Amino acid sequence: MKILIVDDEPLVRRSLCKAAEYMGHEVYEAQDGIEGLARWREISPDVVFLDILMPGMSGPNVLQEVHGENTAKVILMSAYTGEYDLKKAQSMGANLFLPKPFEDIFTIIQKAEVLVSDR
Amino acid sequence: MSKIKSSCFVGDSDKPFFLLVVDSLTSPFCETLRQTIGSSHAEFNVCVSERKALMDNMTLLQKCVLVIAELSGKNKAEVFDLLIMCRKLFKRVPRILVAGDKLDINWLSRAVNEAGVSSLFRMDEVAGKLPPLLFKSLAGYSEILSYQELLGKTKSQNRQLEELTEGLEGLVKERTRSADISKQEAENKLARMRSVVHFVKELGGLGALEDLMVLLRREMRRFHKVAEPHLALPVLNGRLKHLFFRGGQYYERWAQKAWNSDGHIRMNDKADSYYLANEIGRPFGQVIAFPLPVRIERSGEESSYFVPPTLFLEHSLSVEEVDEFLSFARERLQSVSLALDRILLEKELLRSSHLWESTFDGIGDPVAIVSDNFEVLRANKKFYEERLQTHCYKNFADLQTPCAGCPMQSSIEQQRPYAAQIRAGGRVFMVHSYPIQFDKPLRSTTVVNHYFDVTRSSELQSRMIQNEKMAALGHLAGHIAHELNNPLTGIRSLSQVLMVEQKTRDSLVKDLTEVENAAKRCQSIIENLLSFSESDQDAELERVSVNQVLQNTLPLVKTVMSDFRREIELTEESTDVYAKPQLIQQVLFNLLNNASQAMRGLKGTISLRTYIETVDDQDWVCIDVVDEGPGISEEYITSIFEPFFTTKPEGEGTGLGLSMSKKIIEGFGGAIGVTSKVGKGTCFQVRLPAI
Repeated sequence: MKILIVDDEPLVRRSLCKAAEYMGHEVYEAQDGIEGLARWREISPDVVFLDILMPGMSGPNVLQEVHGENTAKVILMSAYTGEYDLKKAQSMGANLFLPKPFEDIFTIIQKAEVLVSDR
Repeated sequence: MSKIKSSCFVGDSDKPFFLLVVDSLTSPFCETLRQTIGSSHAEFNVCVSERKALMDNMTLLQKCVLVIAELSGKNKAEVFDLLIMCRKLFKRVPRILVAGDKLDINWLSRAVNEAGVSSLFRMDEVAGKLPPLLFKSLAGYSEILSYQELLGKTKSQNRQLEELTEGLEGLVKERTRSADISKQEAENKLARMRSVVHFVKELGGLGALEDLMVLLRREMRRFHKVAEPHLALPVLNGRLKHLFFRGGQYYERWAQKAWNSDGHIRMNDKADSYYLANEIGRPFGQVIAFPLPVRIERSGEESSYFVPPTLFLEHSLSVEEVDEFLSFARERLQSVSLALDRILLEKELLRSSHLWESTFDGIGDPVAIVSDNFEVLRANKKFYEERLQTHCYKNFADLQTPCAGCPMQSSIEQQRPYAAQIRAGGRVFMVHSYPIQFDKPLRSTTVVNHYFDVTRSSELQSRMIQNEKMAALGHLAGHIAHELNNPLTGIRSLSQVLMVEQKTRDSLVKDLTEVENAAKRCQSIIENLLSFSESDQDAELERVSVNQVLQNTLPLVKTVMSDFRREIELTEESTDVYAKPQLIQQVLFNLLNNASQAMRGLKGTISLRTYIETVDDQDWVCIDVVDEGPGISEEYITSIFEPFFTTKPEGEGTGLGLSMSKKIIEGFGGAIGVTSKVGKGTCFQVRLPAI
């Protein structure tokens, strides 16, 4: 499946990238919200890992932009759990909320796989 | 001899003369003698007297030089009687006999022995023997005369001398008497002076008005008719006072009215008696009023309103006795005035110095008058609270050199007040130095230092800053967590990826596992930090297990408690309460931190227990935190829950921990208490209502 990773933190992108590729998926990266939105529309991914806090355009903003045209499963991620949780993420059109740091990166990829297969 | 007369007495009886005593002026003897004397010696004054006439007037013999008597046969007895009489009456007049006949031995013997005749010759011998005899007797007479004169003179001189002596004696006696009198007077005067001097000396030693009154009373007792003294005295702010004795007891009483004060001694003035009777409330007899002029006019008194102190003496002296008493009193009253002056002045000085002293001591802050070489001249009680040293820095800050930042020098240099902060004994003082000008034209070398303890306020300030920082940190915590969590995500996840990729290389996997574990630990610290700093107000009370919270907290205080033995005893019953877990955690963290700080440097156990206690059907979840530190003394134990109260060294405690803990626990409907024994340890008990 096609996975788009939108995060301004290179280490996060890199680890997710490596794990997903290891699991045999096709992975695309974007380093902020604007690039992410462009790639989203360009490649139509099956799963999008979307960071919340990003310079320029935040994760929720990107979600608003793609609202209606989107077919991908969205996993919102944040290093600061303060004001976000699963409920809020779902109300914004995301399928899953993941606080960073991840307990186990492979489990996360599996969760994404489950989301896509449920479709 | 021309002057010889034939009468009964012939010759000049006023001059020395020879007397011829004859039976009759016609006798031949008379002629013979006249011829004998008169022929050769005209200068002789010769008188002739008949015997009978002479017998009648013997006084003729007074100026007689020589008696020459005629002795004949028939007149012998009569002539002898006459001569004897002559001898008796005029012993000094020599007598000679001219005999007509030869005398027998019997008559010779009578002539010599009875009549004292010095010469005897016959008529025929007269011419030869008589003249030398006449000369001799004349010389003898003049000798006698001059002797008599001398004697007279001597006598009169003696008399004069005697008179003089008598006069002198009188004078001496008089003088001696007056000397005796003046000596007596002098002694009396000396005694009087001595008694005055003694009195004055005693006055000099007096310190109080009562002493003065007692002394006056004793002094006046010499006059039994003078009663105990009564002194009317102006004191404070023009108020007037009566000092007197009643029943031997000393009294002071405010005067209702002023007394008469014309400045003169008043004798038995009825107005004075009435005045005293009204003031004191008993009848007064005759009174002598002595005004006592004092020099000092106390502050705040217009001199026109000034009534001089007056000594009233009630008496029953008679007119004669009054004079003695007045002079006695006059000798003393000036000294009494002076002594009164001095006592009042001392009182005034004492009062004003006492006023200033208590003013200074009344100031709660330390105040000191300090000279430019840092010597303390005067200071209040607060300043001398801890030490008694001569130099301000030694006394106040226990230093050997002046305190850093002291404003005194600047104040003296610039001659104006300066203020600056100094640190002394772990406290911060704002010191205000005010130069004192004792003498206007001179530069002041002395300052008044006022030390104001600003420790509390500067502590408050630094604590507020600290709190602000903490709050800001709390706000930042989310951001920090975000910033840290991102790289941590990378570290952990990449480690996981690498571990999977490098399955075959064991050593690398082991290393990566360590990296991953470290990252995991970092993550949990951030989580705890975050939950600690989360804003509390919004969060709702939730059901939490106290035991659980405790277990979550222990790892956080692991390092601070590492030096002590830990005893943890958790009840197996439910410890669920409604609370905010992070706040309970904060309280526990605080209590455990306190316990370990109290036991710093000591060995011992920190015990932590939870248990359930039932009081009036209400179950309480109790947490005891027990240390074996030095304990809390009673004076502090009541204030340990007050904000900003701390006994910890600066920088180690904010004084807020316990007050916040109390607030938190009470916010959950619980309570926090403390029991402590000095030297044994302290137990904090937290109780929360169990669900």
